Amino acid sequence: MKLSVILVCYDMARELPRTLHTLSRSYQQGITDLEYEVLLVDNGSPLLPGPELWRGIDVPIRLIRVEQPTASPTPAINAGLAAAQGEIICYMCDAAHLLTPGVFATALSAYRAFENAVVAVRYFYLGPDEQPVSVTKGYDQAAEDELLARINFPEDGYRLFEVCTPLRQGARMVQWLNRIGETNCLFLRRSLFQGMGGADARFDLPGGGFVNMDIFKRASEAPGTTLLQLIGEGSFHQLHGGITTNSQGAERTRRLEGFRENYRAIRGHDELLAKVPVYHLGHMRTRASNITARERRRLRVMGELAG
Amino acid sequence: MKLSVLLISYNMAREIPRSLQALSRTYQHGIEGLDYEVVLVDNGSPVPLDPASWAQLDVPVEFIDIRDAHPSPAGAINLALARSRGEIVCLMIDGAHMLTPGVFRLALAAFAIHDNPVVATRYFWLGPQAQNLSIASGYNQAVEDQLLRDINWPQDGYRLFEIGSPLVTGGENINWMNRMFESNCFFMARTLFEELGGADERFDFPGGGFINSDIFKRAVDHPATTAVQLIGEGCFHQVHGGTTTNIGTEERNAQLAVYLDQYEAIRGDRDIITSSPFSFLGHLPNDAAKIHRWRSSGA
Repeated sequence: MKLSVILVCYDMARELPRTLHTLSRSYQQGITDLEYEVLLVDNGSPLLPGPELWRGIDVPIRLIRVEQPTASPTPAINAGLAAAQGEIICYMCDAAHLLTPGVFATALSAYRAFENAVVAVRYFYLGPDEQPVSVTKGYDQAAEDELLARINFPEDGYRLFEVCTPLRQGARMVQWLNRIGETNCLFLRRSLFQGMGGADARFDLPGGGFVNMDIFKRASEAPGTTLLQLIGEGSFHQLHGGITTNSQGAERTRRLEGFRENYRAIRGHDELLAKVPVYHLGHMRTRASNITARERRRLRVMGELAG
Repeated sequence: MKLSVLLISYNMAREIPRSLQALSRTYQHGIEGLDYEVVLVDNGSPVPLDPASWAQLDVPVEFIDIRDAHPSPAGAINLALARSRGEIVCLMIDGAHMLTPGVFRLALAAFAIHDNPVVATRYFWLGPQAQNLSIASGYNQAVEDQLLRDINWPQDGYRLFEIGSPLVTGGENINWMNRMFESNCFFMARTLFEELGGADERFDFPGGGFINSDIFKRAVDHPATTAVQLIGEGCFHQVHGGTTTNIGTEERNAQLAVYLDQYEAIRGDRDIITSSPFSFLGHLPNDAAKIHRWRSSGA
């Protein structure tokens, strides 16, 4: 089998059908002959997700229930990895993310040129601003449903770029060629992920703390790997009760500081970004996917950019 | 053989050794096992090229010296194509261009990723701005030699970005994803170039008029191909007595209008810019390669 998607979920009955749709054979383009599986790892949801959530969606799902769920997704990630059969893993720590339709084909094409590619997909929020901000201004699930209806999702998945905001992580503006700090959709060889020992169980805080960034960094820095970022494809976070994305203000700051301390205790440093060269691969299918132009317009409106 | 570079020269005794150095095994990165050749055609220069000028370089040159040449490079291109043995050809119609060190490696990676790609390298001028402007303010070969010494070329070929200027068309902000309509270094399968009939010899102006754009557009618009632009790699034009690059703006515009008329006479339209979508592949090897921050220092 070529590809295993590890999709970790907790209490996402609203988000899952859409996520699964974007992982389906009818939505992802250019994967007619792809042999793949989606390992939906449920990390102790009050109500176990069932087939009614993916009825009518052409997606090869294996549901895995974590026996002793913890507040950290780390054991769930490793349960997914242990069950995976694919040569390549697409690791999605937060199952509330929608993908654009070329993610599979473009990410897999990287392996034809780079034997041990680690491929990161850029992170976007659905909605008019980064969600920790937009939720304070009234953005909610109903507003999100309306946005998705407006672009006739899932008819043309590239229209997601019309209703999103890039994760900026403090940067003034985001361009495709900026280095990605965090991704919620990471491709790596299964042998590499296993060789790294999977997710480190010491990331035991609720939500996992920085376990996701830790995996990204360690995979990128592993000997013999080539780090690539996709251009013109993205993963889009749907609003749900996530641990940091939807918490606000002082609470969010406090929580992130706890994550940092946890990371420091485990790794002995604060360096979350991989120090390796990054390559870029992709296309721009639509005007809206030209995020550089969009970000320039935004800054112009805010008066931060001349001309 | 994997790759044949078709390098066309006219009156470039100064420039060709540097162009060849940038095509050499010691300069291009990651091509240790690559089986390739540079088919260098001198298209009737009054003073022929001297093979001794590249003898010390580690570059496999097949030299063709045309003495009774047509002033258009069309015939020279077709001769080079006929002689070439590579599965992939890289056309450099103006031999005065120097490449960055990852062009071969990334272009060949694009051939692994895509079935039938046409891979284009972005065009840069050496010097502080477009050369038809910079030469009016004193830019010349001696200044260029000094610039190249300043960056210790060829030690780190990516430092070319520090002394070059991207070709900018119109007033837009330049960035790596801007659409290219011409490249002086593009790669395609030799079978594709042959299927296209090579260079169209009706482009018979000295220098070939829009022959390069014509080949590029026909290759990119072919239904079986995927157009790919490289990011973070470039080809850099050395100043020389070229047909359009090194003359004044007014004279240049008049000449381009004549070329466009010829293009229309041959192709039936004036659309030399392809509307095919582009894919991207590359990296940002140093800060100077972040061309979206570039501002002309001569403006």
